[in-house]
Amino acid sequence: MRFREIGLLLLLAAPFCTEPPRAAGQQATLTGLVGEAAAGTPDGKATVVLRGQPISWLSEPFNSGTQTQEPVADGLIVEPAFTDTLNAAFVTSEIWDGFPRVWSQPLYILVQGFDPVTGPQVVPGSLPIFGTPPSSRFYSPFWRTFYVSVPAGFNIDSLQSGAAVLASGLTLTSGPLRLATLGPREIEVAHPAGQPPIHPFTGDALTPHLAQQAFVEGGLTFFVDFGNDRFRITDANFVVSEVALFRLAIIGNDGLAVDLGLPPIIGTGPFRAPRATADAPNGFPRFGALRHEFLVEISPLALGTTPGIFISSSRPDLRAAIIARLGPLGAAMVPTPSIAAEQLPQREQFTLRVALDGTCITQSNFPDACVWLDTQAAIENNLPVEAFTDTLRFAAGGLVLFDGVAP
Amino acid sequence: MNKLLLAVLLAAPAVLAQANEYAPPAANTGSGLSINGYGDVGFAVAQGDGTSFAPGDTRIPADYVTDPFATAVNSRGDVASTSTTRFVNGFLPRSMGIGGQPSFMLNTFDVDLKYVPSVAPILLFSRVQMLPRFDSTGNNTRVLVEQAFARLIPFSSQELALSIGKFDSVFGIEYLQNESNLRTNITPSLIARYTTGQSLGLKAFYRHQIPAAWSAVSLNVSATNGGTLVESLSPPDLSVSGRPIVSARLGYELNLPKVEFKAGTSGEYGPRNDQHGVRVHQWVIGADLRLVFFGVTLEGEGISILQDEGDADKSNGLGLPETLVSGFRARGAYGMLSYAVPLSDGAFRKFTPYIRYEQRHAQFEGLSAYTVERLTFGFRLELWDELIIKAEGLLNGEVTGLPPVANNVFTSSFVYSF
Repeated sequence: MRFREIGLLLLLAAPFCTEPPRAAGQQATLTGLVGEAAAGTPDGKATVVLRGQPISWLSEPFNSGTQTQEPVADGLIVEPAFTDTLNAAFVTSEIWDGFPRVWSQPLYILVQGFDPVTGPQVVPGSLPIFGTPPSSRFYSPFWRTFYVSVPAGFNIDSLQSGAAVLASGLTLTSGPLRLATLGPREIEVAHPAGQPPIHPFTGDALTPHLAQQAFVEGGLTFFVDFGNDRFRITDANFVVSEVALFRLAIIGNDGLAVDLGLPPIIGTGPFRAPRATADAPNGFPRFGALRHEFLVEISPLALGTTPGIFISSSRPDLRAAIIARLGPLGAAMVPTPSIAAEQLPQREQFTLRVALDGTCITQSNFPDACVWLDTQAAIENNLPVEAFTDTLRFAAGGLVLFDGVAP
Repeated sequence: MNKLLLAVLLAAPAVLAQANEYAPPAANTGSGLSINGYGDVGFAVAQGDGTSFAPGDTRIPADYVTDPFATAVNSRGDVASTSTTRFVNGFLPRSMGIGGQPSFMLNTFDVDLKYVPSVAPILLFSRVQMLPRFDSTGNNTRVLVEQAFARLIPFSSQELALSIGKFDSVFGIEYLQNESNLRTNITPSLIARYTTGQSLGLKAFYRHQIPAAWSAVSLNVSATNGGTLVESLSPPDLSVSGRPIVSARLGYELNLPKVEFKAGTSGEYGPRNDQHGVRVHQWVIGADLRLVFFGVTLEGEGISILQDEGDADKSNGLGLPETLVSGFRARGAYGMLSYAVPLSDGAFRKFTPYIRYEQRHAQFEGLSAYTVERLTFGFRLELWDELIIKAEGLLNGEVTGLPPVANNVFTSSFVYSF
């Protein structure tokens, strides 16, 4: 009888001891990432460089010397990437872990009319009004613009929140989609003092994107504007369209995929659904601002060949660092480039680009002999299904360089 | 002894109104199965498109920036419509789907089965409801087992009742009028969503009479799956979180020959049952008051609710895909005045006009708070013992934090009982 009672108690207690795994639903906003950078978390250090601190991609081993972020503002780290065979770069301003999707929200711009040539005439002295604050997990930097037609003499000071705009009954006219991240006042795209932001390998100059002032929920805020038409949404439900982002990895000692820290490959569409051509009218990418991240294992066992990472012999520190990062695979996966490769004027375009079979890097007909893992199709078509791990992570932030254009 | 009997008799109407509340053991009566029930046919029309979503508002989630429960059209709290193309995150009532069109509705067809054996101090009760519905997706009729429980009265000398199964709430007093044949007016209050839901589990009710003071104190405690939130917000039929929610009401009642006074305080604590985390809690506290004198009834109730923020595993009674479990807090209160005018012993038995005023203040995680109000007025006319006609107007208003929206409602209800 006693054992039965104990058994019953244990049975009743069982549900109290375990908790089933579930989606995390954690969101890191730009303000949160700045805080994480100060706390030294991996996400914080990968996305934000604090003022006066070294900019990792512009310093050793990726570049000579140490470049530090300007002393008066924190910086959104410019991360190099490849997309659609091209060099690109992006910043990360928000991260969602375990979210089912990301939604766009309304942004209200006060206008006094529409010019047939120049378009909406913004009310002088007015500020944009964002519809959802970063304190809500339904916040995102993806906005649907609505122009609010304000009659002459209207007190615009009364319009500082989405609810106030709607309550005003003023006419709303739908406008473009806009990518703008709300955050602290003193933040911009990372760059050393006195220099513009640049791509770490190609040296292309990028747009600084300084913080501006706006209203949200009745209070002042700041935002970094990445411009119009930088993403797409599903009109029926305002869900932001995602693209896949592939971070190249090897299997660590614990059997889990470990990110190699190489420039990721940004897809042109969702996982297994790339677009035939990159969605970039007039060179301005309308994709890549919302990225669904995957880890992709590229160890020789997974591929059946030994992939190769191109690093010029003129970058001995970077070669040494990547070889060390790869451990026993390092020597094989970072081959010495051929003389032809080293003499190629545009060889920096290939820095840290991965070839499916690394022997092509040692050939005299470099780069024609290489099958590069630098497009979504190349990744998805050449790697086995088991190579992909869904991290259940969304990250937001504009492409700041694509095909030579710095939007 | 006479005083005790009188007190019990005075308390009887409210007690017997709900089959699962305490009632003295049915001594010297034969066992038997009784079948009762009611039908509730309504006619309603709501302003606008029948929802509370403001035209031109594209903020997301749509149900976080308005009160979607405002356009209630029946005693179940079903609203005229919840239709929207915008994303919603499960803070919704059930919908009759009539939109802004006037329409007849079969709100509820209810069948109650009660069995009381002659030799055992138990009562077996089941309440099955047919809910004919038609919306934009087609026929959406449901058959709902709203209650199904066994009640044991272990001591003939004590007012102690133990129940197991699916039963009514124990929180506050509004749940006593869940069914349309019992409710004075038609629509539930703005806070009913937090206090009137049925749930599945265990319940104990104890009342101690104080004859010398014409009084009694009672304690009603339950441990259930879903707590007292309505089923569209917190599913009662299984424990999503894996832990029970404890609810209780401590009540005092004074039963004088011409005056009845009841007061109580209620509380609820446990993990939210619209998600899986055992550490994501909800707290609800409340107080209620009811005074009946010379046909006048003055009643009111206030509550405050706090729900923790959770993860991305929301799962509630609406079957929506799992999304974020938002932190939430709200408080609200209503006061209602009604006056029952006896008419005759013939067809027209009683006429009861009433008026109710209420406010609700709410805030979802990360968003600004808002306040809504509502004025409800109408009448209830009882014909013989079997028929009730009710008509009601709801004037909904946005006090702060929300854009105004035209969402007033006229609704009516014809209830027959058997």
